[in-house]
Amino acid sequence: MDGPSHSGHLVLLHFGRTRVALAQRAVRSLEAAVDADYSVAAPGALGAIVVAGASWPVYALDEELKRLHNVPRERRICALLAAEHGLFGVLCDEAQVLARQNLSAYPLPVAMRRKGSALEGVLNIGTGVAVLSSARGLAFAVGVAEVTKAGADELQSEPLSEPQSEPQ
Amino acid sequence: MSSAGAWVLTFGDFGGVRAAVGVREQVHLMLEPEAAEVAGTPAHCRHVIFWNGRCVPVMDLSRWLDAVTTATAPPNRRRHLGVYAYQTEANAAVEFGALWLARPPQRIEVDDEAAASLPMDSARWADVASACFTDAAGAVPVLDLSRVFSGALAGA
Repeated sequence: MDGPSHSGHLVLLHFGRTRVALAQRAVRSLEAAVDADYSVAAPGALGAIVVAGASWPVYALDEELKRLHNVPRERRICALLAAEHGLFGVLCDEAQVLARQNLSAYPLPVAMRRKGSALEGVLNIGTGVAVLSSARGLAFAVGVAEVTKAGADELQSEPLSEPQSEPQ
Repeated sequence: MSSAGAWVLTFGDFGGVRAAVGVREQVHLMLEPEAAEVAGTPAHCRHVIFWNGRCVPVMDLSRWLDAVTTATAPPNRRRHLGVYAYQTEANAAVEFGALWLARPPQRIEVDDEAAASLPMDSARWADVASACFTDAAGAVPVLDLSRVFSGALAGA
Protein backbone atom coordinates (compact mmCIF):
# COMPACT_ATOMS: atom_id res chain seq x y z
CA MET A 1 0.00 0.00 0.00
CA ASP A 2 1.21 3.44 -0.84
CA GLY A 3 1.64 5.54 2.24
CA PRO A 4 0.33 9.03 2.69
CA SER A 5 3.76 10.53 2.18
CA HIS A 6 4.39 8.80 -1.16
CA SER A 7 5.51 11.29 -3.78
CA GLY A 8 4.57 11.54 -7.45
CA HIS A 9 1.24 11.89 -9.20
CA LEU A 10 -2.00 9.99 -9.41
CA VAL A 11 -4.52 9.81 -12.21
CA LEU A 12 -8.12 10.01 -11.07
CA LEU A 13 -10.59 8.29 -13.38
CA HIS A 14 -14.28 9.15 -12.93
CA PHE A 15 -16.90 6.43 -13.46
CA GLY A 16 -20.11 8.29 -12.67
CA ARG A 17 -19.90 9.18 -8.97
CA THR A 18 -17.03 6.80 -8.41
CA ARG A 19 -13.47 8.01 -8.61
CA VAL A 20 -10.61 5.56 -9.02
CA ALA A 21 -7.03 6.62 -8.36
CA LEU A 22 -4.19 4.95 -10.21
CA ALA A 23 -0.47 5.55 -10.11
CA GLN A 24 0.44 7.75 -13.05
CA ARG A 25 2.74 5.09 -14.47
CA ALA A 26 -0.27 2.77 -14.86
CA VAL A 27 -1.85 5.12 -17.42
CA ARG A 28 -0.12 4.94 -20.78
CA SER A 29 -2.26 7.61 -22.44
CA LEU A 30 -5.69 9.23 -22.49
CA GLU A 31 -7.58 8.99 -25.76
CA ALA A 32 -10.95 10.22 -26.92
CA ALA A 33 -13.61 7.54 -26.49
CA VAL A 34 -14.94 8.36 -29.98
CA ASP A 35 -11.65 7.18 -31.42
CA ALA A 36 -12.45 3.61 -30.39
CA ASP A 37 -14.03 1.31 -32.96
CA TYR A 38 -17.07 -0.32 -31.42
CA SER A 39 -17.77 -2.48 -34.45
CA VAL A 40 -14.84 -4.74 -33.67
CA ALA A 41 -14.19 -6.20 -30.24
CA ALA A 42 -12.31 -9.01 -28.60
CA PRO A 43 -14.48 -11.40 -26.54
CA GLY A 44 -15.85 -9.49 -23.55
CA ALA A 45 -14.65 -6.13 -24.83
CA LEU A 46 -16.88 -3.32 -26.13
CA GLY A 47 -14.56 -2.27 -28.91
CA ALA A 48 -10.96 -1.65 -29.81
CA ILE A 49 -8.69 1.36 -30.07
CA VAL A 50 -5.61 1.71 -32.22
CA VAL A 51 -2.65 3.42 -30.58
CA ALA A 52 0.86 3.48 -32.01
CA GLY A 53 -0.12 0.99 -34.67
CA ALA A 54 -1.48 -1.66 -32.31
CA SER A 55 -5.09 -2.44 -31.46
CA TRP A 56 -6.14 -2.75 -27.81
CA PRO A 57 -9.43 -3.93 -26.31
CA VAL A 58 -11.73 -1.33 -24.76
CA TYR A 59 -13.98 -1.93 -21.74
CA ALA A 60 -16.37 0.06 -19.57
CA LEU A 61 -17.12 -0.12 -15.86
CA ASP A 62 -20.11 1.06 -13.86
CA GLU A 63 -20.01 2.96 -10.57
CA GLU A 64 -19.54 -0.30 -8.67
CA LEU A 65 -16.60 -1.18 -10.92
CA LYS A 66 -18.49 -3.98 -12.61
CA ARG A 67 -18.07 -4.51 -16.33
CA LEU A 68 -20.68 -2.90 -18.55
CA HIS A 69 -21.99 -4.46 -21.72
CA ASN A 70 -22.75 -1.21 -23.47
CA VAL A 71 -21.08 2.17 -23.77
CA PRO A 72 -22.60 4.88 -21.54
CA ARG A 73 -22.80 8.28 -23.24
CA GLU A 74 -20.92 9.91 -20.35
CA ARG A 75 -17.80 7.90 -20.96
CA ARG A 76 -15.91 10.40 -23.13
CA ILE A 77 -12.35 9.33 -22.41
CA CYS A 78 -10.53 6.09 -22.99
CA ALA A 79 -7.73 5.58 -20.49
CA LEU A 80 -5.17 3.23 -21.94
CA LEU A 81 -3.75 1.24 -19.05
CA ALA A 82 -0.56 -0.80 -18.94
CA ALA A 83 -1.16 -4.25 -17.46
CA GLU A 84 1.33 -7.08 -17.16
CA HIS A 85 0.77 -8.53 -20.60
CA GLY A 86 -0.09 -5.44 -22.59
CA LEU A 87 -2.50 -2.55 -22.79
CA PHE A 88 -6.25 -2.19 -22.52
CA GLY A 89 -8.63 0.73 -22.59
CA VAL A 90 -11.16 1.66 -19.91
CA LEU A 91 -13.81 4.25 -20.69
CA CYS A 92 -14.31 6.96 -18.10
CA ASP A 93 -16.15 10.27 -17.79
CA GLU A 94 -13.19 12.41 -16.75
CA ALA A 95 -9.54 12.03 -15.93
CA GLN A 96 -7.56 14.27 -13.62
CA VAL A 97 -3.93 14.29 -12.62
CA LEU A 98 -3.40 14.92 -8.92
CA ALA A 99 -0.23 15.59 -7.01
CA ARG A 100 0.10 12.87 -4.44
CA GLN A 101 1.57 15.19 -1.86
CA ASN A 102 -0.79 15.94 1.03
CA LEU A 103 -3.26 13.23 0.01
CA SER A 104 -3.84 10.55 2.62
CA ALA A 105 -3.99 6.96 1.42
CA TYR A 106 -5.17 4.07 3.56
CA PRO A 107 -5.44 0.33 3.01
CA LEU A 108 -9.01 -0.82 2.40
CA PRO A 109 -10.36 -1.91 5.81
CA VAL A 110 -10.54 -5.68 6.14
CA ALA A 111 -14.32 -5.56 6.69
CA MET A 112 -14.78 -3.97 3.26
CA ARG A 113 -12.65 -6.34 1.22
CA ARG A 114 -14.29 -8.62 -1.30
CA LYS A 115 -12.57 -11.58 -2.84
CA GLY A 116 -11.21 -10.65 -6.24
CA SER A 117 -11.95 -6.96 -5.78
CA ALA A 118 -10.05 -4.35 -7.78
CA LEU A 119 -9.95 -2.10 -4.71
CA GLU A 120 -6.67 -1.73 -2.88
CA GLY A 121 -7.24 1.28 -0.69
CA VAL A 122 -9.06 4.48 0.09
CA LEU A 123 -7.76 7.93 -0.72
CA ASN A 124 -9.02 10.97 1.14
CA ILE A 125 -9.07 13.71 -1.47
CA GLY A 126 -10.70 16.32 0.72
CA THR A 127 -13.88 16.64 -1.32
CA GLY A 128 -14.67 12.96 -0.79
CA VAL A 129 -12.93 9.69 -1.34
CA ALA A 130 -11.41 7.89 -4.27
CA VAL A 131 -10.69 4.20 -4.32
CA LEU A 132 -7.11 3.21 -4.95
CA SER A 133 -6.61 0.57 -7.57
CA SER A 134 -4.06 -0.51 -10.15
CA ALA A 135 -4.00 -1.43 -13.81
CA ARG A 136 -3.84 -5.03 -12.70
CA GLY A 137 -6.90 -4.58 -10.48
CA LEU A 138 -8.92 -2.94 -13.24
CA ALA A 139 -7.75 -5.59 -15.71
CA PHE A 140 -9.27 -8.16 -13.37
CA ALA A 141 -12.46 -6.10 -13.00
CA VAL A 142 -13.02 -5.84 -16.74
CA GLY A 143 -11.95 -9.42 -17.33
CA VAL A 144 -9.08 -8.83 -19.69
CA ALA A 145 -8.50 -12.32 -21.00
CA GLU A 146 -5.52 -11.82 -23.17
CA VAL A 147 -3.78 -8.98 -24.85
CA THR A 148 -1.57 -9.46 -27.83
CA LYS A 149 2.00 -9.85 -26.70
CA ALA A 150 3.12 -8.58 -30.07
CA GLY A 151 1.38 -5.28 -29.46
CA ALA A 152 2.92 -4.94 -26.04
CA ASP A 153 6.40 -5.51 -27.41
CA GLU A 154 5.76 -2.95 -30.10
CA LEU A 155 4.80 -0.31 -27.60
CA GLN A 156 7.70 -0.90 -25.27
CA SER A 157 9.91 1.08 -27.62
CA GLU A 158 7.48 4.02 -27.67
CA PRO A 159 7.94 6.95 -25.28
CA LEU A 160 5.32 7.22 -22.57
CA SER A 161 2.61 9.79 -23.14
CA GLU A 162 1.89 12.12 -20.25
CA PRO A 163 -1.75 11.82 -19.14
CA GLN A 164 -3.62 15.02 -19.88
CA SER A 165 -5.91 16.64 -17.38
CA GLU A 166 -9.43 17.22 -18.63
CA PRO A 167 -10.91 20.67 -18.15
CA GLN A 168 -13.37 20.74 -15.27
CA MET B 1 -22.79 -12.51 41.56
CA SER B 2 -20.82 -10.00 39.49
CA SER B 3 -21.89 -7.25 37.16
CA ALA B 4 -20.29 -5.29 34.33
CA GLY B 5 -20.97 -2.08 32.50
CA ALA B 6 -22.18 -2.15 28.92
CA TRP B 7 -23.58 0.07 26.20
CA VAL B 8 -26.82 -1.06 24.58
CA LEU B 9 -26.79 -0.16 20.88
CA THR B 10 -29.86 0.17 18.69
CA PHE B 11 -29.82 -0.41 14.94
CA GLY B 12 -32.12 -0.32 11.96
CA ASP B 13 -34.79 1.99 10.55
CA PHE B 14 -37.15 1.47 13.44
CA GLY B 15 -34.58 0.76 16.13
CA GLY B 16 -35.76 -2.81 16.31
CA VAL B 17 -32.36 -4.46 16.54
CA ARG B 18 -30.34 -4.24 19.72
CA ALA B 19 -26.91 -5.43 20.79
CA ALA B 20 -24.38 -4.53 23.45
CA VAL B 21 -20.68 -3.83 23.74
CA GLY B 22 -18.44 -3.54 26.76
CA VAL B 23 -18.37 -0.13 28.38
CA ARG B 24 -14.71 0.42 27.47
CA GLU B 25 -15.16 -0.63 23.86
CA GLN B 26 -17.07 2.49 22.88
CA VAL B 27 -14.56 5.28 22.33
CA HIS B 28 -16.47 7.94 20.43
CA LEU B 29 -19.98 8.91 19.42
CA MET B 30 -20.81 11.03 16.37
CA LEU B 31 -24.28 12.52 16.47
CA GLU B 32 -24.10 14.05 12.99
CA PRO B 33 -21.45 12.02 11.21
CA GLU B 34 -20.01 12.65 7.79
CA ALA B 35 -19.21 9.30 6.29
CA ALA B 36 -17.88 8.75 2.77
CA GLU B 37 -19.30 6.03 0.57
CA VAL B 38 -16.79 3.68 -1.06
CA ALA B 39 -17.80 2.02 -4.31
CA GLY B 40 -17.41 -1.69 -4.86
CA THR B 41 -17.73 -2.60 -1.20
CA PRO B 42 -20.27 -4.89 0.54
CA ALA B 43 -23.77 -3.47 1.09
CA HIS B 44 -23.42 -3.79 4.86
CA CYS B 45 -20.10 -1.92 4.97
CA ARG B 46 -20.04 0.78 2.31
CA HIS B 47 -18.80 3.81 4.26
CA VAL B 48 -15.68 5.01 5.98
CA ILE B 49 -14.96 7.87 8.33
CA PHE B 50 -11.63 9.57 8.75
CA TRP B 51 -11.13 9.76 12.47
CA ASN B 52 -7.96 10.57 14.40
CA GLY B 53 -5.84 10.04 11.30
CA ARG B 54 -7.38 6.65 10.61
CA CYS B 55 -9.69 5.27 7.95
CA VAL B 56 -12.43 3.53 9.96
CA PRO B 57 -14.98 1.21 8.31
CA VAL B 58 -18.64 1.81 9.15
CA MET B 59 -20.79 -1.30 9.52
CA ASP B 60 -24.55 -1.42 8.99
CA LEU B 61 -25.13 -4.36 11.29
CA SER B 62 -28.90 -4.56 10.84
CA ARG B 63 -28.41 -4.83 7.09
CA TRP B 64 -25.92 -7.67 7.50
CA LEU B 65 -28.13 -9.51 9.95
CA ASP B 66 -31.02 -9.29 7.51
CA ALA B 67 -28.99 -9.76 4.32
CA VAL B 68 -31.48 -12.02 2.58
CA THR B 69 -34.32 -9.51 2.64
CA THR B 70 -32.29 -6.31 2.31
CA ALA B 71 -29.85 -7.31 -0.42
CA THR B 72 -31.54 -5.02 -2.94
CA ALA B 73 -33.13 -2.57 -0.54
CA PRO B 74 -31.97 1.03 -0.22
CA PRO B 75 -29.66 1.79 2.70
CA ASN B 76 -31.23 2.12 6.11
CA ARG B 77 -31.77 5.58 7.49
CA ARG B 78 -28.78 6.28 9.67
CA ARG B 79 -28.55 8.78 12.42
CA HIS B 80 -25.50 8.40 14.57
CA LEU B 81 -22.17 6.63 14.53
CA GLY B 82 -20.41 4.89 17.38
CA VAL B 83 -16.69 4.24 17.11
CA TYR B 84 -15.45 1.11 18.85
CA ALA B 85 -12.05 -0.23 19.81
CA TYR B 86 -11.16 -3.89 19.66
CA GLN B 87 -8.23 -6.29 19.49
CA THR B 88 -8.04 -9.41 17.39
CA GLU B 89 -5.95 -11.07 20.12
CA ALA B 90 -4.61 -10.17 23.54
CA ASN B 91 -1.33 -8.54 22.51
CA ALA B 92 -2.45 -7.21 19.15
CA ALA B 93 -2.68 -3.52 18.35
CA VAL B 94 -5.98 -1.80 19.08
CA GLU B 95 -8.11 -1.40 15.97
CA PHE B 96 -11.22 0.67 15.38
CA GLY B 97 -14.53 0.19 13.64
CA ALA B 98 -17.77 2.15 13.57
CA LEU B 99 -21.42 1.13 13.68
CA TRP B 100 -24.47 2.98 12.36
CA LEU B 101 -26.84 3.56 15.25
CA ALA B 102 -30.54 4.42 15.29
CA ARG B 103 -30.15 6.39 18.51
CA PRO B 104 -27.48 7.18 21.09
CA PRO B 105 -26.31 4.18 23.13
CA GLN B 106 -27.73 3.50 26.56
CA ARG B 107 -25.42 2.79 29.49
CA ILE B 108 -26.47 -0.16 31.67
CA GLU B 109 -25.12 -2.59 34.26
CA VAL B 110 -25.51 -6.29 33.52
CA ASP B 111 -25.55 -9.06 36.13
CA ASP B 112 -24.38 -12.61 35.48
CA GLU B 113 -27.91 -13.79 36.23
CA ALA B 114 -29.15 -12.02 33.10
CA ALA B 115 -27.29 -14.43 30.77
CA ALA B 116 -29.55 -15.80 28.03
CA SER B 117 -29.62 -17.53 24.67
CA LEU B 118 -29.16 -15.59 21.43
CA PRO B 119 -32.40 -14.27 19.88
CA MET B 120 -33.96 -16.26 17.08
CA ASP B 121 -34.69 -13.29 14.79
CA SER B 122 -31.49 -13.88 12.81
CA ALA B 123 -29.39 -17.00 12.46
CA ARG B 124 -26.43 -14.72 11.93
CA TRP B 125 -26.18 -13.56 15.55
CA ALA B 126 -23.99 -16.55 16.30
CA ASP B 127 -21.38 -15.21 13.87
CA VAL B 128 -20.98 -11.85 15.60
CA ALA B 129 -22.03 -12.35 19.23
CA SER B 130 -19.99 -13.88 22.03
CA ALA B 131 -22.74 -13.86 24.69
CA CYS B 132 -26.26 -12.63 25.34
CA PHE B 133 -28.29 -11.27 28.23
CA THR B 134 -31.85 -10.18 28.76
CA ASP B 135 -33.32 -6.95 30.00
CA ALA B 136 -36.90 -5.79 30.29
CA ALA B 137 -37.19 -5.42 26.51
CA GLY B 138 -35.79 -8.84 25.59
CA ALA B 139 -32.56 -10.51 24.53
CA VAL B 140 -29.45 -8.38 23.91
CA PRO B 141 -26.55 -10.11 22.12
CA VAL B 142 -23.07 -8.99 23.17
CA LEU B 143 -20.98 -8.20 20.10
CA ASP B 144 -17.57 -9.68 19.48
CA LEU B 145 -16.18 -6.64 17.67
CA SER B 146 -13.14 -8.47 16.31
CA ARG B 147 -15.58 -10.72 14.44
CA VAL B 148 -17.84 -7.86 13.38
CA PHE B 149 -14.96 -6.03 11.73
CA SER B 150 -13.14 -9.07 10.42
CA GLY B 151 -13.19 -9.88 6.74
CA ALA B 152 -15.38 -12.90 7.46
CA LEU B 153 -18.60 -10.93 7.19
CA ALA B 154 -17.77 -9.60 3.73
CA GLY B 155 -18.00 -13.08 2.29
CA ALA B 156 -20.73 -14.40 4.58
